[in-house]
Amino acid sequence: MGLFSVLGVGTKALAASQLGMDITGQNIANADVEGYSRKRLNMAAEYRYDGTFGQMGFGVRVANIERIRDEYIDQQIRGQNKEVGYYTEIDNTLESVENILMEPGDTGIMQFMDQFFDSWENLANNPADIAARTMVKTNGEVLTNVFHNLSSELRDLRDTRNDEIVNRVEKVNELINEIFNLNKEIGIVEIGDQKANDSRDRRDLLLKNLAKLIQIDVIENDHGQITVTTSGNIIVSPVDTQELEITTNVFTRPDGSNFSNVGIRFAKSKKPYIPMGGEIKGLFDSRDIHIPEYEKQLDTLALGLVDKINAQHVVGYNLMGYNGFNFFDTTTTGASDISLSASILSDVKNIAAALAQGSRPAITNIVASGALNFGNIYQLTTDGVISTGNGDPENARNIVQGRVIARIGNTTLIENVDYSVNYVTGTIQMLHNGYDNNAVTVDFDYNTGNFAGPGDNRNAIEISKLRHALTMSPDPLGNASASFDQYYSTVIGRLGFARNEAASNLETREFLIEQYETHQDAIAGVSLDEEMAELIKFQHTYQAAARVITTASTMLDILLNI
Amino acid sequence: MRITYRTINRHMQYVITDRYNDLSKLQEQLSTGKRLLRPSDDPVDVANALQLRTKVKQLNQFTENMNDGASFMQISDTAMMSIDDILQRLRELALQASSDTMSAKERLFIAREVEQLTRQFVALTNSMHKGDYIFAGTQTKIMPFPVEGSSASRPEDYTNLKMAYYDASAVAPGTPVQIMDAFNGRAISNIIPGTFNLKVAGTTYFEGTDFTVDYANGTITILPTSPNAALLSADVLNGTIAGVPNYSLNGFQITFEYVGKGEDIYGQPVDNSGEVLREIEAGIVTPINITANELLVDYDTGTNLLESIVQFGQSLIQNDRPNIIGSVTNFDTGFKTVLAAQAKNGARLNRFDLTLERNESQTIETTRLQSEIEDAELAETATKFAVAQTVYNAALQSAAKIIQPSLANFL
Repeated sequence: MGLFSVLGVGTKALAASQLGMDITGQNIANADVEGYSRKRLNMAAEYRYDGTFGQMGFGVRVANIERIRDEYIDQQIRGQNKEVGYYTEIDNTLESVENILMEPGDTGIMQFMDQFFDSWENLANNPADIAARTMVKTNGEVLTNVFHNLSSELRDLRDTRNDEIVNRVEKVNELINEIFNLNKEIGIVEIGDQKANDSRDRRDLLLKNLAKLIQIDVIENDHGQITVTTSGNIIVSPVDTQELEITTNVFTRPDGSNFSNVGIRFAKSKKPYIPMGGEIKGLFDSRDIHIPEYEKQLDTLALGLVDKINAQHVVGYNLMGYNGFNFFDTTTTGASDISLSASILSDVKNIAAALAQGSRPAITNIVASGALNFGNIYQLTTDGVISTGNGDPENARNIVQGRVIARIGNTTLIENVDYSVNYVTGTIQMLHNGYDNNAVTVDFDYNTGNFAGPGDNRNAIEISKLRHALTMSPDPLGNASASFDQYYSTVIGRLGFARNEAASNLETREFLIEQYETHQDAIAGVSLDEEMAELIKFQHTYQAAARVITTASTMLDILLNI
Repeated sequence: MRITYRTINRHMQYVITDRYNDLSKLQEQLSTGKRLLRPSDDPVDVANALQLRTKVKQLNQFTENMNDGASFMQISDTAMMSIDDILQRLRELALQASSDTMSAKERLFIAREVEQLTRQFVALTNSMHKGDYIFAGTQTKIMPFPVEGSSASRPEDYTNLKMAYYDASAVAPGTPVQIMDAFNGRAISNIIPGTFNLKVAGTTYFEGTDFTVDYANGTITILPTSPNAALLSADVLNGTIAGVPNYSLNGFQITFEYVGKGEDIYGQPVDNSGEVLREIEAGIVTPINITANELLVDYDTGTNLLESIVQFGQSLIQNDRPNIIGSVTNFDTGFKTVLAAQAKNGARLNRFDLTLERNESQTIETTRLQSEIEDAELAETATKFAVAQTVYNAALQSAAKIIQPSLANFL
C-alpha cells in the first residue's frame, strides 16, 4: 500500500463526512415537516484484496442513505385514521343535529309543545273566551312553524352532506393522482439499489390522508411501487389510476318536495362504489342513517300530534254547537307540512272545547228526499223522510239558519224564490208548481238541543289530557307506551347517546393515533440534540480525515525531498 | 424510548388542546349556570331534565287551573250564602205570616217584600263569574233564569216581549187556563207574585174577586163567583182573542213578569245540568260548578225552591194560611238543599286547597330535582375551573420550557 492510497482513504472519509453533514442539515431543516422521516448515512468499511494480508482496509464507503421509519406503524395509523375520519363526520353531524333540535333549551320543540298544551288548559278554564281560543290557534301555529323549521334545517343538513361528499371525492381524486405520480417517481429511482426516501415520505403522508377519507389497502412491490385498493377495486396501480365520480339521483318525499342523493362510482368501470370507512362513509351514514332517523322521529311526533288531537277534536263541538272539525290539516305527511286545518285558521270559534250533553250530536245533518208539490206544507224529519203529516216524533225542528239546500238532480233551488222554510217548525213549502212531482233532495242541519253549551270544557280537557296520555311508541301489542314529551325526550336522549358514542369512539381513535404517532416520532422523528451531536461527530471526522491527508502530504513532501 | 423534538411537540399540542377543551366546557357551564347544554352532555339526565321541565310546567298549569276553579267556587259560595240569607228572611216571614192573627191585608204587605226577595233570589241564581253564569251548567252564556215581562197591551214591544195568550181550547169560568208564550207556545210558569194585572177595555179586574192565578204553574182561572165572570169569559176566554196576536184591539191586557228558562238561539230551553270541569292533577278532572238543579231541587222530595218561593207569595196574596204553614216546611227543605250544595262546593274547595298544597310541594320538589340535574353546582364547577386553569397554565409553561432548549443552545 502506498501513500497515495492513504490520500484516497482520506478523501473518501472527507466526502463521507461531508455527506453526513448534508444529511444532518437536511434532518434539522425538516425537523418540523409533517411526514418527514429522519435519514441516516450508513457507511461501510471499504477493502481491497491484498496478496499478503488478505483483506485490507481501503477507506470508507457510503453504503446507503436510510430512511428510518416503521412502516407497520404507518399501516396501523392508516387503519385508525379511517375510523377517525368516519367518527369525525358522524360526530359533526350529530353535533349539528343537537344544535338544530336545541334541547334542552328555551327554543326547542318541547317548549312549544308545553305552550301549546298550556293554551288548551287555559281554554279549558275559559272555554267561551275568544282570546283563549286565539291563544290555542296561535300556539298551534307556532308549534307547526317550529316543526317546519326543524324539518327544513335537518333537510339542509342532509343536503350539505351531499356537498361534502362531492368535496371529499374531489380530494380523493387529487390524492389518487398525486400518489400515482409519486409511485412513478419512486419506481424510476428505485429501479437500482437507490431509495427514493423523500418521495416515500410524501407518499406515506398522502396515504395517511387518503385513509382518512376512504378505507384503503396498500401493497408494495419489489420496486417500491404500491397498489392501492378500496373495497377490492384498484384505484392506484404502478401503471394506472381509477378515479371516483359522482352520480346524482333525485327522489320525491311524501310531502311532494324533491331531494337528491349523490352516489359514487368508479370512473372507469362505472361500478358503484360502496364506502366501507373513512369520512366518506361517515358522510353517507350521516345522510342515510343518522339524519333521516331524526327526521323520521320528528315526523312521527308530528303525525302523532295530528292523529291524536284530531281524533279528539273531531268528537268535540265548536262554539256554535257544530262538530266534526279537525284541528290539524289531515293531509299532513310529517314535520315539514304539519299545519292547522282550514276551519281553525279561518275561525277560532271552530276550536272544539265542548262535547254534546247526551249521546246525540248537538247539530245533526240530514239529507231528506221526496216530492214537494206546490200547495202543500211538508215536514222535514230526522229520519230523512219528507212527510205531509204532523205530530211526527221524528219532526226536525229548529233548522239551522242558512243550512238548507234543496236540489233536484244537480239543480240547486233558490230559497224564497222556489221554496220557503219555517226554521222553527221545520217545514218546507214550494212557492210555485214548476217542480211538482220531482224528487227533491233537501240537505239540512237541525239543532237537536244537545249542545252542552259554550261553557262546556270537557273536550278541551280531553285534549289537554293528551299531553300526558300514552299516545306514542306502540309496543308489539299495539299499546302506546309513551306520552308525546316522553317520546321526544327519549329521542333527545338517544341523540345524546349516539353523539357520545361517536365522540368517545373518535376520542379513543385519536388517542390511539396519538400513541402511534408518538411511537413513529420516536423512530422517525428528528431529535435536534442527536443531530447536533451527529454534526459535531461529522465535523470531527472531517477534521481527522483532513489531518490524514495533510499527514500523508507531509510524508510525500519528505519523500520527494529526499 | 427515543424522545424527539416532534414527540414533545405533538404531545404538548395534544395535552394543551385537551386541557383547553376541559377549560372551555367548564367555562360554558359557569357562564350559563347549566350543566346540561346539549343532549350529549349526559343523555340520561337530559331526557330526565326535559320531562321534569314539562312536569314543572304542567304542575304550574294545574295550579292555575285550581286557582281559577277556586275563584269560581268562591263566587258560588258567596252567592249561596246570600241565598241562605234570603231563605232565612223568607222563613221568618213565613213563620210570621202563619200566625192566625194576621189579616189578609197584612199578608199582602208581606207579599210585597216577598216579591222583592224573589227578584233578589232570581238575581242570585243568575250570578256570574268572569262573564259566565255560574249556576247555568255548561250553558254559561245564557242566563238560566231570565225574568221575562209579558204584556199584551204593548204591541209595539211585540218583538221584545213574550206575550201571553190563552189556549183556545180551554174556555170556561172555573176552569184553570194555561198561559202560554205567544212565540214558542210553551207553558209559562213561575210568575212573580204581585206582578199580575188584568185589564179589559181599560177596566182593571181584581185577583181574588174576578180571577185567581196559580203563579207557580202559570194558570189563570176566572172565578164563577165574579160579577164579571160572563164578561171575562166572553171577552177574554171565549175565543175572540184566543191565539190571535192582535187581541189588544179588544182592549184586552194582561201583564205579568215571570221567571223563564234560558233558551238557545234556536229558542230551545237549554240544559243547565252540564258540569264545568277543571283538570287538577294529571288525568284527574273534577267539576267545580253547582248546577241549577243541585241548587234548587231537593234530592229527596223533589221540591223546587223557586216554586216554593213563588207559592209562598201566592199563598200570601191568596191569604191561604195552611199553605203558608206549608211554606215553612218548604223553606226548611230549601235550606237543606242549599246547604247540601254549599257543603259540596266547600268540600271541593277544600280538596282544591289540599291539592294545591300537594301540588306546590310537588312543584318545589320537581324544580329542585330539575335544578339538581340540569344546573351546574357553582362552587364545584368554579373549583374545577380553577384546577383546570392551573393544569392548563402548567402545561403551557412546561411546554415553553421544554421546547426551547436543545444542544444548539449550549454549543
